[in-house]
Amino acid sequence: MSNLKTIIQDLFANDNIEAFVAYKNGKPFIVRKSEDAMQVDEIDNQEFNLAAYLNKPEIKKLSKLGILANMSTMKALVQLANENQITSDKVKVISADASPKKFERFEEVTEYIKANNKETNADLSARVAEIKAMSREERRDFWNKEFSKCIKCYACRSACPMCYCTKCMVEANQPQFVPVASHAQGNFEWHFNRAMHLAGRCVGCNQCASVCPMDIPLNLLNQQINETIAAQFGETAGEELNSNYTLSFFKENDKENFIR
Amino acid sequence: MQQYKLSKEKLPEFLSGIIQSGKKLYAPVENNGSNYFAEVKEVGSIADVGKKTKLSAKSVFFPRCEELVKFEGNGENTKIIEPEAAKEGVLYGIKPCDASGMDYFKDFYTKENADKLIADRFEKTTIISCSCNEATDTCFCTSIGSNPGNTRGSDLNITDMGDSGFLVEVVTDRGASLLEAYKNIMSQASDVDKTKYLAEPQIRFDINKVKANIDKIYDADFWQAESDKCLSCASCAFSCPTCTCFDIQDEKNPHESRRLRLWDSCGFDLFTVHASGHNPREVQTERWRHRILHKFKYSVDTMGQLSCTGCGRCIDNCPAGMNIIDTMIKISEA
Amino acid sequence: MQKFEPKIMAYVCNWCTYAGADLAGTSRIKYPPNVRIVRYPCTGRIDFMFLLKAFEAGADGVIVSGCHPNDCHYTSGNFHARRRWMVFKELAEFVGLDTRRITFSWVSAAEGAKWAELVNEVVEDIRELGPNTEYQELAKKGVNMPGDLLYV
Repeated sequence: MSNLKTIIQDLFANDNIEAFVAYKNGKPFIVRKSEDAMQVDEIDNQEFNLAAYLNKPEIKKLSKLGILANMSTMKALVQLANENQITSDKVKVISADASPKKFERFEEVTEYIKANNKETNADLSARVAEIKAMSREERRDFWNKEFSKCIKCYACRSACPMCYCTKCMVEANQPQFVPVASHAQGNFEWHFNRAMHLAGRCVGCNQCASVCPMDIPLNLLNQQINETIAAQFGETAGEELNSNYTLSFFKENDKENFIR
Repeated sequence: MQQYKLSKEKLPEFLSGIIQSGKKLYAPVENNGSNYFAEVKEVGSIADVGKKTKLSAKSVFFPRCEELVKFEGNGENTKIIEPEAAKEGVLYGIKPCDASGMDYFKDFYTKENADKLIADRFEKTTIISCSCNEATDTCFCTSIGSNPGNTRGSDLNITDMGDSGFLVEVVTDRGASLLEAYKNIMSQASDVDKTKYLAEPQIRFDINKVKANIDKIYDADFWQAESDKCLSCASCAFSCPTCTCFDIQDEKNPHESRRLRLWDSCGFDLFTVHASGHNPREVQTERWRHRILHKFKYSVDTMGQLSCTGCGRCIDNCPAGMNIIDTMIKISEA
Repeated sequence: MQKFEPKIMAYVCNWCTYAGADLAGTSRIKYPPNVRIVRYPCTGRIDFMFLLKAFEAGADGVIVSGCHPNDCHYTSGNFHARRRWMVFKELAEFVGLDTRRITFSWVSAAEGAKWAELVNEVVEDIRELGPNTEYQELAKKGVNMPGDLLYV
């Protein structure tokens, strides 16, 4: 009997969790009953960021649940805790590695992140640099071409662990602010808004790009913002417990060079 | 059914003939490794038609964003601008599953309360489907009683017979009249059996059992487990050949206003919200159940046909790995 | 040919720049009439979308202005705004918006002359850049395209 399966059954028996978010056949799977724990995957290299499920209303309303967390899921959980969306009482975190471990508090999660954080977005970073090196017109045309594929299915929003608003700004329609149509302006404004609203909160899991049915490289926008924030403010989302994340906070000595 | 043979070398001649005759030619084109339907200006840009396109061909008849009406100017000087009429066109490289989806689409939008714009496009578009020589893991057309050489919804059907060229089948009069001008590059054929060239997608569930059970599974227990991982985006609906739902949006500025028709999906949580705030389909389980029952029950009740064609795009495009086949197996076993 | 008169949208804070612009008026300092001022309670209230909406409505340039750091009526609104603009400006450049058309500045209630000078400079700069049609053209793209996916 495997470790992860017993841990999940233990959580159901002793912690009274109502659901456990894990993988089955490489896809997300919500364990609702202790006996279903036998179906979960043992492999530890899944990429889907399961923290997205904590924002699903049906799961959010549960009083207690557990989640299997890989590195990017952990970062997302820490950032969600920073934004007061989850507490360690409610969400039990199990590490998704060869020897699954249960974390009692989010401090332990941040320690784990610090010790094991080897993920780099080097390829993505190189792509961002490539785009930055283009002329403005080339950049504009590149993005308009990418955005023109967008069919506004909002998979990027649904699968983002940080998109937990019950009413998204595109759904604020009295008056309509961001056009819901998938014409050029609607697509541009949606993606611009999505990136800006994730500024300082995006944990860089790249899920927005991987779920996009039209293969739009949305993670480039987030990566660019993450790089800006790291360079200008020295901050990274989801790595430590700190309720002051970039745009909710300021320093008097923030330096810019463009305000006249 | 009339049959013709077309050699491999002559196919580009046939297609470029269509472009030269002034008709619009819609065909799959490649972009970043995936195929999409688009208007093509030269035959060389057509991608491999054997590969399933990412989205269905419904955008040819039902664009993702179109103006229903437009106003310009103010007060007494207001000008109302009606949408342009459709142009004669040919849709080439559509799969048989997609083509039967277009047949459903046509029935939906042109029978009762016909939609002028969409009916006009169906009126003026000739559909040339290409039978499938290969199936993907997610194809299940045979499970719902169709097959990879189905001619439903097509005007002409082309089957790749390997070294013996293409078999062109005439399905409708419109197909026959399109072919009239190109008979000189084709040779008459008769009683060619195309089935041996076709793909053989595995039968994944028993459609008769599904039909027998569909009326009694509304309150079944499996719906929650089946829908638990759904994240309520619309990638299934927007890639589906038979999803017809739309949203109406008005956009206005001081100089002009327009009424737009956009794609919409029953998977969105706001789809059914009433003005009062009440939502009759409040949880994703109910929305997923509605999607399945619409495809396999409600459309049968109202229009006498299934509105799933077994193309499997909803499975291919789902970010969370939702699988309609799994749900159908559950229903057939219920 | 008639000289191009740019339309400039100015989003200003109530407590500093709006009063500064008022001072420019009462001091009879002349500045071009191309600027349309919209008053907000604080620069912290100025959403980045307002800038895009100004371009959509036909503005050729945008000015965003408020209190100098440490002078905010609400103590920290402009500090928050400053961070937001630092992120916004980089992203806007990354997606290819013409950021030369957006000017940020601090103008206090006592700086009527600075306001007039700023407007002068911005109007001259934008006059040189010419009319901004790029953003308005976006709204026309991607509509009524049966069978086509890409609008570029």
